[in-house]
Amino acid sequence: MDFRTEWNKSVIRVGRATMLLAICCSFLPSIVLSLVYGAAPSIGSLLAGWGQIAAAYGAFYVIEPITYYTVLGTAGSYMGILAGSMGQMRVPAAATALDVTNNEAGSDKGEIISTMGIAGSIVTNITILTIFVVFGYQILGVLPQNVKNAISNLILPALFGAVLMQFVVKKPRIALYALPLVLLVRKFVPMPSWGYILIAVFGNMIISKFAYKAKFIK
Amino acid sequence: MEELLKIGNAAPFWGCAAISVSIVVLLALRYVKLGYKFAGSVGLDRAACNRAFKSGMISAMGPAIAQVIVILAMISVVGGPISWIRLSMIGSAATELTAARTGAAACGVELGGAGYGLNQMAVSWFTMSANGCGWLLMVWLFTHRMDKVSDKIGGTDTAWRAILTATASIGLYSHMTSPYLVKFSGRTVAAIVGAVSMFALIQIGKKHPWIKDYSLGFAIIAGLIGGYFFM
Repeated sequence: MDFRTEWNKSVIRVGRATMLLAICCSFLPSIVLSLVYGAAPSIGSLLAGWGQIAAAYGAFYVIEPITYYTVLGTAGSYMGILAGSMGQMRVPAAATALDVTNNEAGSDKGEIISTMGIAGSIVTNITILTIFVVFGYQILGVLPQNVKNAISNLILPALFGAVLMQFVVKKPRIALYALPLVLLVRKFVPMPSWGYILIAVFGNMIISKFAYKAKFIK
Repeated sequence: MEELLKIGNAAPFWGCAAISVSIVVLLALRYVKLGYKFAGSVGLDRAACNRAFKSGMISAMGPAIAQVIVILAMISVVGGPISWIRLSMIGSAATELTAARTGAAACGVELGGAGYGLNQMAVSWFTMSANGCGWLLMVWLFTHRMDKVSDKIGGTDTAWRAILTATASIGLYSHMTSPYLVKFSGRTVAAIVGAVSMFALIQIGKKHPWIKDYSLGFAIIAGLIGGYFFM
């Protein structure tokens, strides 16, 4: 069998088993809270909480795995959804790993390289998170408030701008229509935020299809 | 609230949290092992895999710190163990606090406010978990079928597939940068300085490859400093 088939088979087996395990373990604290500490919330309020949160985020349950799949691939999707922060950490990690080793996204080598990069980002992520959960008060206590404000307000815009550029330099012509489309829609068309993601990804894919046929991009 | 937080920070919950966090790390390590195993069959050596892993580690440092900077706010309302689980799986602090608040609201009280007792906390916790499971369930149900879908859209034309991926990436990050660009603030400057520095760093990286590992970190710091003057 070829690499893709073999690789996907192993990745999917591990990935799906882990997703199920993670779903089950998600409710462990709630179970302990009931059994050990005697919490007995009414079924009605549990369902109400669940229903309201699903109404708010339900669209993202479907849209994020689909849109990120194109960028992260199969192994990247399992890791990315489970560990979260796909835009902030997983995609940048994969992109950097590909750049550093001079590999192309989507190629066979690229698939393994981005998997390695994403796994590396998870190790850093969990290590830093764990340190801060335990020592957060001591560490964050010494930072002046304006530094904390600067970090929490400005890191994400700086990060997203930088990652955008990382992708743009590879195929600058796509950015000529992709970015203006996104900005115009964002500025002038009010809609729920998942609508903006769909247009940004799939709207631009349609334009790319024409641009590719017209040999504007290659 | 004090009493509740004492329960929320109790040993059994640290145990539950350790299990959940381990699942995330174990998945990453299993995939690293698979990567090594398959590397030879596509002509990659171990050194390249290690390089990739290392650069992934370095690239996440800045964003990981950005994520934890708000962690105290979360620990002070839901406790350490739950914050640890929720931030290591799927959630951002903002999403998780919204879920916790939604759970409290479903009981007719405010998160941490009057009337927020053990049962209300249980609903908050359940709502956070159920929300996270929405994503996990979708991935469990559909991701293994996605490569067939993408084969259908992408076909066998490798140039077109590369363009599809590039379009998705550029579209996605245009989307994420757009809120900062349509309205001027310090964040606008941070995004633009971040992008411009990245452009410069990529050019420098062509002559000095070692810089590629650190480009993202340097660009973020440049963006932070640039934006700071306009805050």
